[in-house]
Amino acid sequence: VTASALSLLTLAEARRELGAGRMSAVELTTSVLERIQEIDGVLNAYLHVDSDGALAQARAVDREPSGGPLEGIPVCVKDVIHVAGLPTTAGAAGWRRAPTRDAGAVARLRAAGAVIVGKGNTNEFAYGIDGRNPHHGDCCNPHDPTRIAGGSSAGPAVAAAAGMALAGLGTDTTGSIRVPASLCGLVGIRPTLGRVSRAGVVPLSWSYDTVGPLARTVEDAAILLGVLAGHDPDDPVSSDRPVPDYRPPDDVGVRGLRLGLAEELVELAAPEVADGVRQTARRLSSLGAEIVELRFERLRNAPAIHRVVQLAEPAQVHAPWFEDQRDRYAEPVRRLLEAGFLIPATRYLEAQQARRLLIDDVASTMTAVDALLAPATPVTAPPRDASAVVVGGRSSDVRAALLSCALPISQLGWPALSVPIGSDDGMPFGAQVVGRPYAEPLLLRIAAVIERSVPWPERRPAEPIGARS
Amino acid sequence: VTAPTPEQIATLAEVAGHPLPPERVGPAGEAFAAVMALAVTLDDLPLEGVEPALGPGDTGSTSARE
Repeated sequence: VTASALSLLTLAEARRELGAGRMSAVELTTSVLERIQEIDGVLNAYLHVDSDGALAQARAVDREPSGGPLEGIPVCVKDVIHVAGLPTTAGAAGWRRAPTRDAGAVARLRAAGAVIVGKGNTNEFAYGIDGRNPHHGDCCNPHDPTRIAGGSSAGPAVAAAAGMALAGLGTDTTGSIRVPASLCGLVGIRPTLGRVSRAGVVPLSWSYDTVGPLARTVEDAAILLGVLAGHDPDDPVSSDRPVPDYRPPDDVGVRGLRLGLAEELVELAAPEVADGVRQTARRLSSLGAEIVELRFERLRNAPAIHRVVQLAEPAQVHAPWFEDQRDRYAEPVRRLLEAGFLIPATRYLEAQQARRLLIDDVASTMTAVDALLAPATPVTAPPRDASAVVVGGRSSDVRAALLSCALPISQLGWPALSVPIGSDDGMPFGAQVVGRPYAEPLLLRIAAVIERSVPWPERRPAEPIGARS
Repeated sequence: VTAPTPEQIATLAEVAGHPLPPERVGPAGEAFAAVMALAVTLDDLPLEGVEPALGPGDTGSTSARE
């Protein structure tokens, strides 16, 4: 393995190299830092790079290896998640925190030996889905920098996809891990609510917020989730259920599984994406799974539920500082927060009642299947200057389109992941695999079969990325 | 749905404890009206007696919901 290729190793490959003594953590971290130096001027994945800190962590790993599952692995952390000693800006203009303590999820990464490289770009306060940031610059897609990366966990996604980290830590409120994973060609997991600690994370919408990994392969995502999952006394909703080994076995299969195809969500997608999802279903069928086309009576209520809840909850989060910061917000977020203060409590509770009906509807329909299959995004990454996309002959604003397949699933509080299933004109797209609470091992098993049966040849961005801008 | 007047938006914001500067009444009111227009689509649902789903403890992480 050449030095320049080190940063493009998968996490599992890098661990094998490190464990065999064929490379040091300092060499790997140096390769990642050089990659950042080389291309982040184009992609803008990082808001803060901690070069000295990362090299110090890597030296410590080389000096005293402990055998942790992430030992020596460089990770990019979304800048709404506290990292002790680094600023948290949440992608905002003037708002800033100086945490002295790691977020619960970051503490777990460190305990497993990860090297924290820096803080990743995000939509302002994670309140967006495109990865654009008017204060710090847009985060750009590594497969074509003229296109969006998807967000809000844009920085960790782009860093992981482009070799500026071997993995990313993000948050997913309505799709903020699954959408950039789909658009950047990664595996991204929104875990069951309560599975991964949210302590030390700047909230967006407390009844939706989750923390999860972004990785280049299913195996890498499984290793990361195994580290991140577990009880945290600092998070009152954290689950104390045992953490299984999430890594799918080598002989993984889908024979005997019943998988639902979420027809309403497939119909929202552009033809190339819908075809990709249906082809994936057919491949799984050929491998022994039974595919069942499903419709859900209440999914159509999801956008209304979401808009009400996700206006009211962020307004409550921002209330303590909003009056002092009002002029520092970019207009889209400021407008949403101001509107959020106006939502009547009765409307908020009615939306949460409607959400209960939706959850019960999906739960009762899901008794017929083991997991659901759906697009993660209805389109590949739109151009950065696009305000609308056309899907099925209808124009829709970029935000609404990007959210359309992930948003309904976010209402459930159930686990969902995005796994690459193909590309269109060189731009990747993914499928969502959705399961009941704590079904992450099953979802990763299905994703592993998809990954093996639907190889995506452009998993790693073409070189040099900067030349394509 | 009748969109609220600027005066109603300003009063609502005042009552909510986050008064709007005059130049912000229009943008905030537009965003609010759009959401409320969408929210009325929930009015036909059989919500009577339904327990709200109020967060992680209710929507996935407790044994009662598994």
